[in-house]
Amino acid sequence: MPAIFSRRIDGQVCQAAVGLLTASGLFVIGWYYYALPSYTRVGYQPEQPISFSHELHAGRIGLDCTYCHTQVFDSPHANVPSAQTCMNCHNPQKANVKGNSPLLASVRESFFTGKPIAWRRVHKLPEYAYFNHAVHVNKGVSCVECHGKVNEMRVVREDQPLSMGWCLKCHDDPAKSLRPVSEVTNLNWLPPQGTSKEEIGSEIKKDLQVNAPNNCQACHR
Amino acid sequence: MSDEVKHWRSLEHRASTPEFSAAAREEFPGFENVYEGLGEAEITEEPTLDRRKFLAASTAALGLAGLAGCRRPDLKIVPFSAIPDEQIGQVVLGKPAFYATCLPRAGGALPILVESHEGRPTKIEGNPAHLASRGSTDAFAQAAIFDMYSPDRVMAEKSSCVSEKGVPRKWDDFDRFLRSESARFLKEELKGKGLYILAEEMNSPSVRLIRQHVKSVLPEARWHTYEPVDMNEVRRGAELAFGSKLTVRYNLDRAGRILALDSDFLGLDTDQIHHSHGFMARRKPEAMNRFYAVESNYSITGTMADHRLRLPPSQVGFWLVMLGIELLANHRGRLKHPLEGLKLSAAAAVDPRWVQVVAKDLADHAGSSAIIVGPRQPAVVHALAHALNSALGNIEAGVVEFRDPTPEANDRTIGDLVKDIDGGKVETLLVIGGNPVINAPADLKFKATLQKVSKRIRLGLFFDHTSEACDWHLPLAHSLEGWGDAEAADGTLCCIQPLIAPLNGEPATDSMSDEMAPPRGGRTVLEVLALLTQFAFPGSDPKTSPPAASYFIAKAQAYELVRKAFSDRSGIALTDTTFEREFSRYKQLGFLPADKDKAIRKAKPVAELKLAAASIAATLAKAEFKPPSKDALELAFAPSYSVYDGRFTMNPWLQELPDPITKLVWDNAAIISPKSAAEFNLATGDIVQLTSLANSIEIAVYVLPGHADWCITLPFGHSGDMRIAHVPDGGGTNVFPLRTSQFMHSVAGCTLTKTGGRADLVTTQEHGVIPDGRDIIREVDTNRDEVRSENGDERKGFQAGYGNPRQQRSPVRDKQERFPLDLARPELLDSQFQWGMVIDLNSCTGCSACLIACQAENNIPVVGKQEVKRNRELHWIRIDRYFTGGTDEPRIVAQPLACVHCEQAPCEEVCPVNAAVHSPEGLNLQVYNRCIGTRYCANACPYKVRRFNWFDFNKRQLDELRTPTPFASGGASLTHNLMPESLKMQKNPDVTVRMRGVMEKCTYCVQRLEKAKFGAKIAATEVAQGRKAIAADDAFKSAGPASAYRKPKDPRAAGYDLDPQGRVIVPDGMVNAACAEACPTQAITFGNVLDSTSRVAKLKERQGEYLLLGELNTKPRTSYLPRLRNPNPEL
Repeated sequence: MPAIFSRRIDGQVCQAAVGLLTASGLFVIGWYYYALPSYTRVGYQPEQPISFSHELHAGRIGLDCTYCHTQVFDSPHANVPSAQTCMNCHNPQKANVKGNSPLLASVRESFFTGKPIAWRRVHKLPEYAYFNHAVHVNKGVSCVECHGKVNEMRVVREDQPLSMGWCLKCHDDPAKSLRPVSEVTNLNWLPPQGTSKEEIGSEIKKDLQVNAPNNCQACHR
Repeated sequence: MSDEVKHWRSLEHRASTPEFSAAAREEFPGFENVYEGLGEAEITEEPTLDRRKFLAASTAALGLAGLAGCRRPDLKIVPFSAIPDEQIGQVVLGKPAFYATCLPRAGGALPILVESHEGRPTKIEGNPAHLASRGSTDAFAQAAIFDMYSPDRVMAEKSSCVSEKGVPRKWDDFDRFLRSESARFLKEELKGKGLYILAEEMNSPSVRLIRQHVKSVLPEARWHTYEPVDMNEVRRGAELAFGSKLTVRYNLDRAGRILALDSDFLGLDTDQIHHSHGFMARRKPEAMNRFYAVESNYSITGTMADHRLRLPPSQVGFWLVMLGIELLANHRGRLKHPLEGLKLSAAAAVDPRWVQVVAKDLADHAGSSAIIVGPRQPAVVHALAHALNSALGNIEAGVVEFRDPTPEANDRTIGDLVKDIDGGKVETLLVIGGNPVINAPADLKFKATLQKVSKRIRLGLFFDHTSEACDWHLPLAHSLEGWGDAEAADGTLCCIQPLIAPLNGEPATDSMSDEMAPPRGGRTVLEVLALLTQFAFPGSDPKTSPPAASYFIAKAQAYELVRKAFSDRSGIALTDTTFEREFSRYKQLGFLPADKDKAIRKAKPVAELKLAAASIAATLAKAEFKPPSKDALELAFAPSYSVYDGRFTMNPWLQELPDPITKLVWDNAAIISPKSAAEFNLATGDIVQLTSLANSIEIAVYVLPGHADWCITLPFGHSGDMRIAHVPDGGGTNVFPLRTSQFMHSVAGCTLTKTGGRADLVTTQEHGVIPDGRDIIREVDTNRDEVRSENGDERKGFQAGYGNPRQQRSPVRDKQERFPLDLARPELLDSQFQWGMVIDLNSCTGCSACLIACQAENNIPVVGKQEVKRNRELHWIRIDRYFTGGTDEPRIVAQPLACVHCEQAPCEEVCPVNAAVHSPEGLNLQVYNRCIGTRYCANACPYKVRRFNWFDFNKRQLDELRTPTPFASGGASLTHNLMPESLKMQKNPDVTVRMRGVMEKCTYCVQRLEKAKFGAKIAATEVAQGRKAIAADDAFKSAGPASAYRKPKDPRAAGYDLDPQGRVIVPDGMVNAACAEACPTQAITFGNVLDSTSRVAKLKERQGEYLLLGELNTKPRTSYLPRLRNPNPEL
């Protein structure tokens, strides 16, 4: 009976198997690297309609986060301020800080015409995840934990992956990410000399009964 | 124990037909072969595309979708440019705001609170401050939000636009027409002659102000009122008894014995929420009233009766005469006012036992009983009931109270209008609301008559049959879209405030000036009338408040009218310094409290009610009570539980609401008793021809056990055609052709012929059948104090029953003690929140308000009639209706059943992907993102409460569920969402909108729980850090680890509480499930069972509390209290 396959086939099968394995391995590694939120999301830095610099306002001038994001302690959302908030300082008819700057033209336009500014959204959770800002900041989770050092960003970018695994890292051990509630909006806060972040965090965890939930119900409805 | 099924869902169930047994075994009956179950219609469907085309299109679509998926969606955040002043400090973005308003209704408005998310109303709740609601609503109120967003109203060109003879126009075009009309009518020589208005009954003080104006400037104009649900007999009954037209209201919390005659006072009759509250206040184990019902059709009121007598409507009056004779003859001594002038005589005899027993019982409770007659009984029966109530002293005791009717009750009728049209007097007719072309009495031939009017204008929510018969269709603003007011049934003035600007009412983009009215979008009645009559406030300066010559002035005046009406009622002048504050208070509260109201229609003092006994007797002597027979059937007309008088026919939520009694969806049917059906050889679904003297119709029959013999009930409201866009079938049968001015409520001497045709009636009565032999419904006879469960007393071993000292233990504590079988669930229920629910079958009428409330709260789509037929409805809560007893005189018990949140849930054990999991708070969670749609869980669920999304009901139109995506109308992209934009606006932003292929079920409204928990935790933190001061209870020592939290003295004011372990909890009553909140009888109680002070924990300790299928050891969190019966031992 003649052989159907030649001897060469053996080698080719081996090569093919190795090749397939390598290819699939590369694919998996590639997938792991390129398709995870830590790659797809972190660093997302869209151009905003107004070149508002957090680095200037929150960093160098030192405005508190809640000067603009007023409702973060009350609401599930950290609201984006209205043009009116900008005009507290930049109104040419009032405080007139850079009141006539061409960079602020669209803010003035929005304020005087009532047409809102369409900011581009940077941080976005999937629709089936429901995050609540208020309960986090009220329990001593600082803005910086999720948003990074916004006070050093000229243009806001996504600093953390905001994936479920990333959330759970903190929810499994919240003490590391807690600080006194009064220091929540102080992005440069460091624990006082002689104490560590963990010590202060565990104290707050005890005081405010921080039991970060890690069941589905907490975020998915 | 007999083999007979004691609680049965349908006649087939009772007879245990093989079809029923087979269907009951299946999770989705007929699913083994989907196409077998579809019937012939489905198979004859022509394939719309061939295989190649389909594959090509699918591949293209997939590829495109894949590419689209790579892009990060570019989303915008659009804040205010400046926050509106009135919102600063009040409205928090992301937190819903609640506004008080009301839903106007003919019998009296329902005060409500509307939840608004960033200016988008999404959900309606009752107004807890007002006695006509006390926080409760009904199914119609819950569904009103859909009407506002209905795509048929706001997305369809026809309904949302002004149109003239079917040609789309702009409001400006109509305004020009209207200005010329009003200028013509305002002229000296006409003074409104020829101008007619036909309106729904609008008991609105501000509309009355306009009507006064009409009277003064257009004295010849005429206003007619028509309501299909006719209340004239009630008013005329009072006129016969007391000499003036009055409306009746009952304070049933003062009544120990209630006799209702053809009345649905817990269901569809006026002010039913008030009556339900009163009735249930006296139906507690500690104080049970006794309720006798005499009725023809089974109403939900009848289901609550201790004794129910079925009689054709014509015999009910006769029965009351017999009762009167008995009371006057044998109990005269105990009557508070023996009716000297009332001489009663009866020609024939009825079964005297009932009469004797009821008369004795009522006489025993003279002064705390009530005889209630439904609006469908003739005036003389009402008058007789008033006389008997008066004799029993019930009127004196305040059980029955009378009020002057609203002025609208004395308006000219639609009959008068038709006479004037025929007389050629009517030149211009404005029809406001309603749908008289369909629902006017048939003898008026309204549709044909209407054509004799030269200018016909219609102001309506939808482009309906009446709009078609008119020249102009004008979109009416929904009551959530504009200013107005209305009176509740107790006469209080309620405010109607807009939750949103009229949808579609954006200003014209091409307008040259701001003076142009928006081209589309609804306008309120006030606005249109102000414009029509060129309204000006009497005595006002034409410079500061010019007459309404343009829309903007009319709009401003409409608001001014509401202020004026408030000013008139409260007695505070518009110029008064306190006015603004009081008016704001009025808007905030939603109504003007009765004690501040200077012109409220108060209940008539008893002294003013002089009974004219002789005239009642004289009228009675002339009355005829001829019983129906096989050859002369009696037809009774009743409003429908799903579409009422037809005003909700465009509401798919209500159309798909299973009727509380028949469980029919999307249809109505002629309801007939089993005995009569057998005589005519009829089964449910057979089409018959019903012929009265006036007309004849063909309609499918539904055989309802407990219906009176030789009598057929026709629920009206359905128009016979399905006008909701994209809904392929349903629509019911129009029964109005049989309803004439003379016979608005029932018509005798009708005949029935079987046509041989069959209709495709879909009923959910056999959906989710729990197999026989289980202990599903428990009924307790309070006289005998024992549990009467489905299987008698033989199965006592399983469960503690009523009267058994062995209490059912709280599910949570049981769980914490590690029940030995509990091996598979490693996690502890260790949260301080342990949610649970108790459903009191004794209070549940089956009204289905909870079902619609759940639908609105949880973004549940409708699935259409054919999908319901295949058990695919998505309602998270179903209301099982069980009959008990024989087919002639069965009792009915309704049992709401949603996911019971088993602590040892069978669904969780079988899910291969862990999509069904448990939370530490005792919630049985369904994780949509994990679910891959194996449906094992639904198969495992013994309660059959899991629902599967067979199609993209939330993305697809109902008639395109099976159309391949690229060929569906509206878009070829897989990611494209075809849900109409307006419906997207209705969705609750806190609840995921589920997609095809996932399982879903009741979540105990987890979004509300989370919100409440966050609120309590934040409040506690604020106090702990000194950001907020409260009165703290510093003596409190926590048993748990120390924390910074302080226990408040008044938890509800502080917004949080601490449990004995010092953990933050939500105070009882600050969180509620949507179903529990809506329930008009508080049959559903929800809360934290771990909090021993909570209502739900107390109810769980109640004797007789039982777990449904508790013997399966599923440890459900929802438990039931038995239905109590307080039968008269003598009957």
